[in-house]
Amino acid sequence: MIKHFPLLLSTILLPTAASAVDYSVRGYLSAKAGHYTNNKTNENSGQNHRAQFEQESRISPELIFVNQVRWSYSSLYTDLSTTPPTDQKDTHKIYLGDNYVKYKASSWVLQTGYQEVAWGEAFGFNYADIVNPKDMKATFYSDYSDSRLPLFLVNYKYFFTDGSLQLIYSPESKFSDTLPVNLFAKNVLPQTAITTLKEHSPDFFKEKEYGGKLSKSFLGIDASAFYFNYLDRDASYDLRNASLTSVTLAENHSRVNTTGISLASTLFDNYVFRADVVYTKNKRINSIDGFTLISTPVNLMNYLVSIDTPTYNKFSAVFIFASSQLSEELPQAFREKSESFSIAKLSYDFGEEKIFDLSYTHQFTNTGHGVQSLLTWPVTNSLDLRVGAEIYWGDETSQLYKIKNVSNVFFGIKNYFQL
Amino acid sequence: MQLSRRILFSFFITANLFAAEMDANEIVKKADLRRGLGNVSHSFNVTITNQDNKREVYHVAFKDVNASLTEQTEPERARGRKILMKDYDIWLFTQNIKKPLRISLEQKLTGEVANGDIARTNYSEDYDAFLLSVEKKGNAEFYKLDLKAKNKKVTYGRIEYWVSKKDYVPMEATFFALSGKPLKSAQFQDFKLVQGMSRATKMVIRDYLQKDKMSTMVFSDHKPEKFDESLFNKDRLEF
Repeated sequence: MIKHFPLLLSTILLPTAASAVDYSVRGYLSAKAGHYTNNKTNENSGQNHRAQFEQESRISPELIFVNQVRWSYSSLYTDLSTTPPTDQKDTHKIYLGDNYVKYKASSWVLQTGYQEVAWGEAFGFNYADIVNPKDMKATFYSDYSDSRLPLFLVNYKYFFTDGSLQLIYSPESKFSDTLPVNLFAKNVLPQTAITTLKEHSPDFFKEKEYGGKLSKSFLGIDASAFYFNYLDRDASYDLRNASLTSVTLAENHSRVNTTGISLASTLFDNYVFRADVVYTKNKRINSIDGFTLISTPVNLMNYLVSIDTPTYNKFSAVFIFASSQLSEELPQAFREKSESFSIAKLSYDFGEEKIFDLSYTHQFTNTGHGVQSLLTWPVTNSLDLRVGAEIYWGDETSQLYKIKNVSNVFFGIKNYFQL
Repeated sequence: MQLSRRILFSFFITANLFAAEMDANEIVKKADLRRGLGNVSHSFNVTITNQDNKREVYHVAFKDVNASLTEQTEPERARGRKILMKDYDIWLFTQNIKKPLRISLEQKLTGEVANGDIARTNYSEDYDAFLLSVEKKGNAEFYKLDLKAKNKKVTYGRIEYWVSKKDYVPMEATFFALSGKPLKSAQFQDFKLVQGMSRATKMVIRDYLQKDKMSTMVFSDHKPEKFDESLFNKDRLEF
């Protein structure tokens, strides 16, 4: 019964639409054709389609029901590593998007059901965006709404002058759709075919996740502090069995807790400064000790600062510095103890929301590079066109080199509708 | 003696006339009431159509000159996009990002129509007015006013503003950036009886350099309305 709670919830909510005072149906269909330029065999070209249908029922200005269904199809190999493709191709997914009931009082809001909660002020590396799991394969120039996977939450927010207190509770842990472990393990498990056993979400109420955020704006500064206790959205891996040519790994999501602060402020009228500082305790990181795969709990400190510049002749820029530090050095680990990045993003506004973005990402120490470009063009009231390319390269040990097979060019359209 | 009395009399008359006409801030205040309900808590809708027939619809909750919330309802791609202006702080919320994002004051100027054109329409609050001249067009007389920004945080650096002398109806305006560069011009049209007074319900905005770039703003459904203070809390934008 509890296992089928999402379905049950939808079944309960859908009929309410019939009696709604204000009822609307809307959504989008998107199609994207991509070619993965680093694949010499030319086998990894294909399409990626998504659709979303949403119904909103406003019973009163205070009481609102939202139900979303999302569908995605990919003809691409999900394994983007240098090993022969072993992961699925032609994958379909149908899943619930936002599905919640919201009650809005004058000084508080209660929203219960599947939803997205976004914390933090900064962009680029969303260190503070810790609540919802992500589809990591969709993060490269995808909409945030495509990459964030809704989580069942009881979400309460109380408002006071220029601030708020938010409390969240989730009875169901969900995990990110991670990139193949091969991408990160290849330098420590060379010439080995790796099979990964996914860990499924625990049953409802078997695990509990909880946290909160306190926000306040003062003197032109937005400040917030947050805490979340949850099962790690990223996986660590345990060795199940191994031979000379292959290994089988099992995903494991340990309990972690994250504390952080976020700041944003307008400087000199036209510059916006943003910062996120996020500290996670007991995050498990894999490494190889001799012939043994181990996962060690370490503390992780991530921080990011950025500046949005004013527009000059229709050009604007964002400069970001991000750093991620483990509390201890792990030899032969899936990641380095210290990883730092800088991003410079330049945007040109053609007017009427037609924008060209070009960004360069640089990884320090183990030098890595990434260049991304994107033209977003709202062709009509309901149709958007997106054309872009991204390429990654660098030292073999850099995180950006590890995702070099994600390098691709793409062309996409997105059509919005409302019934 | 006779001559000096005459000079004194004419000086007195001229000074009085100028005194009456030089109260430029009062003229702007009266003209503001011909474009909206003034600095009272109210709501209204704005429909913007450009030269390519692209249409955008906004609902504005205006508490006072220091707090307004603009929510876009059309087109579908931008539905739910909100801009909160509180004093001189601005936040943007979009359904995609799902969190309030502080933006710079300059981003009010993005696109043909600035957010300030939609939600911050009381020039008397943001600009110091100076009467440049009284001009005649046909039978009608107009005040030509120079509006200078009270600080760098308002939408435009300067506005040249033409207001009818007879009934303080705004007719035309030219908007300049803080740098002094002309940005766009506007005409106020379609005067209709709104909440007991004849007010402009249409504003046609043209790019100053690219004259073919044009946006028409139609204001409708003005109604006095009281709002909860929490509506203008940035943390409420996501709901």
